Amino acid sequence: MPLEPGGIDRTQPEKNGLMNDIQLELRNVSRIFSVRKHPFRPKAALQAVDDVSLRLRRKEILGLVGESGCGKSTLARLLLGVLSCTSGDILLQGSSISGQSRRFISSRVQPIFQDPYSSLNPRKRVRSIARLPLTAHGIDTKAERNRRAEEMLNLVGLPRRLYSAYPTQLSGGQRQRVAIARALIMKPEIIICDEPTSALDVSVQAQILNLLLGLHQELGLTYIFISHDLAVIEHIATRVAVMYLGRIVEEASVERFFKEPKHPYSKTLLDSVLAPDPHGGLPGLQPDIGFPDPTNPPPGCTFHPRCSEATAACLQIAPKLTAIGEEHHLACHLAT
Amino acid sequence: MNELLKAIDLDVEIRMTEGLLHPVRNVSFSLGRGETLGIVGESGCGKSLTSLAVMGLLPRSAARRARHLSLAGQDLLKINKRDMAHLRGNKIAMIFQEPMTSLNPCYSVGNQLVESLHRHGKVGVQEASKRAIYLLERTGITAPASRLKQYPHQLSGGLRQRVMIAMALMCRPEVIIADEPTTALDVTIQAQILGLLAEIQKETGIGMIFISHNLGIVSRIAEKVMVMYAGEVVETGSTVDVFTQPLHPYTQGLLDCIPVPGRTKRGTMLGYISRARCPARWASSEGAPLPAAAPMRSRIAGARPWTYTPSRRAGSIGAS
Amino acid sequence: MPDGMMPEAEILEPAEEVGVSQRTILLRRIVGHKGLLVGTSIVLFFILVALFAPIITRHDPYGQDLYHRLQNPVWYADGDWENPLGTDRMGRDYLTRLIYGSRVSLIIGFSAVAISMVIGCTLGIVGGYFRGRIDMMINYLTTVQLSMPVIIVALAIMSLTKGSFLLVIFIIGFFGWTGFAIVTRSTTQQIRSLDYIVAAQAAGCSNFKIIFSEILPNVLPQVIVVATLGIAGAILAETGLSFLGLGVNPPTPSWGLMVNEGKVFMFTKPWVILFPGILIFLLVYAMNMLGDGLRDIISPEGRN
Repeated sequence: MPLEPGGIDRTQPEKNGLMNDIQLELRNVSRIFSVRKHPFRPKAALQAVDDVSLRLRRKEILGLVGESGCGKSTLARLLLGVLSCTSGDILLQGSSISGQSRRFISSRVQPIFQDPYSSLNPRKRVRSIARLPLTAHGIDTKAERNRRAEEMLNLVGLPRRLYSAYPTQLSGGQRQRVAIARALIMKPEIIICDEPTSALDVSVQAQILNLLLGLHQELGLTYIFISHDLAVIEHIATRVAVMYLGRIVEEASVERFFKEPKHPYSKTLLDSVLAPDPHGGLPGLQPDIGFPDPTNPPPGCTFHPRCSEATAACLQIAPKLTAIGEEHHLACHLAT
Repeated sequence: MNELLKAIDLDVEIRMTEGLLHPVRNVSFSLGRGETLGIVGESGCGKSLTSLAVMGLLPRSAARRARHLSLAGQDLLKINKRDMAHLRGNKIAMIFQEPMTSLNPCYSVGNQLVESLHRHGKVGVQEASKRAIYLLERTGITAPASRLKQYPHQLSGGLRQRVMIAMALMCRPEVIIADEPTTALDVTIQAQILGLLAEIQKETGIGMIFISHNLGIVSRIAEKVMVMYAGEVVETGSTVDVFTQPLHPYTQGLLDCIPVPGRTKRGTMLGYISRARCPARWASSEGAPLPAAAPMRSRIAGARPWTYTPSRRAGSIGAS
Repeated sequence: MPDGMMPEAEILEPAEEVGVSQRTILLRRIVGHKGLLVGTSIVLFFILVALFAPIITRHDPYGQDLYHRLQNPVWYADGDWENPLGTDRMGRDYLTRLIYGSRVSLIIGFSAVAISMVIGCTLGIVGGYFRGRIDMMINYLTTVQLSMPVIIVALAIMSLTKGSFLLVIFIIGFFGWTGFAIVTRSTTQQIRSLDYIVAAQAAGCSNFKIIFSEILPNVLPQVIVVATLGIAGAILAETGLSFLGLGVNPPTPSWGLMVNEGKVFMFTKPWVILFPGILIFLLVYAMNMLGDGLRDIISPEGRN
């Protein structure tokens, strides 16, 4: 197996003895919101995350794929400890995060968000933004915090002259770098990247992806990389998990997923990846069934209205996520 | 005459408190029947402003200049405002990026569709409704008759965008300008909308300008492509040529930046374009543009180099 | 570290970053806004007059001179420059009382708004940030406050107590906080859903710190606008209350009181109520211009 830069053979993690080093574990995590859809009717239940179980090993990059409304942002907030689970448990290095203080979680898990324009406080200077986690934890003196902030800003490649600037003076890519510096300053083990490059220009996206890859190798980080862009996921991730309406429908290593996706939704997603190819065609026209209403999901398998291979069982019984191969999980009646 | 839309040396100038901004410079293109021209570039390169300049929808502080600008033979530079308003929607229609905000939330879908034809043509409301239902069905919307009464907020993003497309087609325009019509949509819906646009174009022979920052989409939907950077066209030609043998370093750089499953090696550094962000071009008070922004360099790192085969190409590259 | 990771460090800078600094843009916008300039200069004028009152006029606003009561101003035949605007019922120099009246208006205006600001911003931000039941409670309080009639409450308080300068400030202050609460609540709600608040929570900041450090600086621009317009309203409120006899007590030189005292002379000596009336109008108008101007300048800046 070819070794990638950094010496880690990511295709077979168990060979490196990383098997038992589970950084993050989700056990049957669910989160329900109650939304008021009609002023005089009772509130409806929105199951944003439905019985999600995942495991993340050290130095893995888990690509979480899904379209809008699939619950990936809610899952990100659950992992950050900003939102609490309705049921289920999240374990950080073996210990549950429920009941833990925000400080405990924040020193281990940090976020990078999608919108570089709303993820930085426009009234604060860059240095002050980068050192925020240190200030929140009351670590060190002010001078020391500034020094560490500048060190981190340098590490992510922000020019020195911008350290005292305000976010409005920075470009999208530069702002994302500040966000990355802020996420890394406490030296957390796990970074939740919620579509960090989706709002950036193509060339800037490449720079930020390179930066994230480089930091991953240099600092030995673990990423949960949320994105709707499968090409980016294929490039950066080691494992892929596909979410649909709050559930994980397929989970596999990147190679296996891109070679033989099993779930019909995964196949649809892969067909929608449009790489630059002047001779490649376009998918044909299909009627728009669109995303179902999350407060009123279809019975049985929630994907069945859009599935070309749905059977009678699919309309009644919701498939469970089961292992179908080595490190490959699938929630579909057809494969079993 | 095959040329539906033609522009030569199109310029846009905007007067701001900080100075005179020159966001579009010397842009030239031509669009024939049934052709799709892709305009590709990153944010700030002037691609949206170019389309607004063609439509005559620039903000009041902006000035448009061109050596030639014509639509189906009609000179757009000499035309008065009222005639231009008549052309808009009628001969040339636009589809915008944000399906959330391009439809008026106060009026029903049917109302907005019928209004656009009613205002331009001499047809009655009945006939306009019939055409609306036909177009809604054509754009793949189920139960089209019942949709007429629905309001925009009751529809999903993909549905709204289909309504936008139907609205653009109501008056049988000759040219459609689609400004990032799929960027705000989910990936699976995106593919459907693109397929829809391609089919409609083949069926009706409409000329289409497709603006996007997504090279993958543009490569598949356009026959000709124009790459813009900092307000100028740096490379233009047939899509096949530009994408298989990009000659300008910016185009090459853009193509190297994109991760392509199967082509870019996983986990390695992507190529990147070493430059400051797309600079705005300021004109000095005398009118001449100031010295260019940082000269660009393109680094090809990790990706397989694109093959070069010398051939004559009907297009041009900008000075680099 | 491989090159590809840090291209920013090797970016070739453009020869000259053309574009003006934010400060210059702001200054240009301020200078270009005529309403703001006019309003600010008039308000500054009043403030200076109020500050330097003892130097401008050497009369005592409380100094009664019963031999020279109700003297006519200087443009009458029997007026003289000793009292350019004549004297009032107690023989006090009218011009002096007008000048010192600006102190009363400005002090009450600013102090009352300060009280309103503290109460309103606290309630608004807390309600907007914590939402749920706390927000409901605060909404309820706001609605109750809005439905309370100022005049009747002032009447009630005045009948129970003697009434004083401080009391007027508190009454006006306690009635003015709803504007701040409403504005800060809606702004806080908007900001609350932005990513940098989530980032601050994820960084381990306590709610208190988030409110002070992240939300407050972003709410401040709107608060300033509401405050300047609030001062105008407070000045008018004091004038009105004093006119009705529910405000400051005589012999304090308040424009409202002066209008009240001059009521009887409205047809015979119109200048008695005309001058305080004009000054009230001018100050409130200028304050409104200032507030409007600030809002115009701040909103395009606030829009990123």
